[in-house]
Amino acid sequence: MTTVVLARSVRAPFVVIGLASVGASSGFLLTAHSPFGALTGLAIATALVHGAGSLASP
Amino acid sequence: MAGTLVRGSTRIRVAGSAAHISAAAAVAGTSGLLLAAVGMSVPLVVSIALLAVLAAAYLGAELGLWPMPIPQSGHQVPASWRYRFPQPVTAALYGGLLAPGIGTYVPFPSFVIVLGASALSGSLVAGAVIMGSYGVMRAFAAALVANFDRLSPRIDIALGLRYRWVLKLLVVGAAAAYLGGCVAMLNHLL
Repeated sequence: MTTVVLARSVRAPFVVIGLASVGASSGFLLTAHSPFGALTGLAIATALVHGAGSLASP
Repeated sequence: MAGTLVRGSTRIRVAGSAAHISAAAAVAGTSGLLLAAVGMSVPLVVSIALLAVLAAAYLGAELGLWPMPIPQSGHQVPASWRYRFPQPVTAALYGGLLAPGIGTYVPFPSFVIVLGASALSGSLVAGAVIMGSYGVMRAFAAALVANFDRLSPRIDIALGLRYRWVLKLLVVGAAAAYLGGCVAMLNHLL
């Protein structure tokens, strides 16, 4: 049980950081290649980051 | 909410997660489309100037420099739905309710930048894509974390709160980048 909890606590930050990073990096890639323009790409990036950030809701 | 996505067999959980993400995409996309329709008539330069002011104001609020109003209900998703409807239906309803962001609690003030960017995008498709991206990512994150550990959902529910600083850092970075983009675009246009 201790091993499971330890493994879970070690993985937890990677899940959050990974999820948020995927959102941010995919959004910033869209910024460069967005068919709507760079500003819309930035808005999509911001939206993706906020989507992942909603995990901080109670 | 995550408790709904975590219950049942693998088949039920996959169905619930798919329903949750699909409903979120549909509702968020529609919200973005409606927002963009409202702001369609605003000229480009005015739109970008307004977005720059909005981004600066809410970046300041994000950094705790000053307070700004946040459109949100402040409520949680209705718990009674999970007893009233089959699990995938409840998951879809929760996805739809969470998708526009303002239906519950907004953890970071700079989310208003996303709403503003969608409203002043100047294109119905762009508005729908911006809000749709938010809705899909929000639902995907919930589905992923809910299934991260089936044994103790309480750990997963608190995951985002425990690592709030990581999310805050990214949100601040995104808001700052968006403000920079607005200023660069204004500089280019004027």
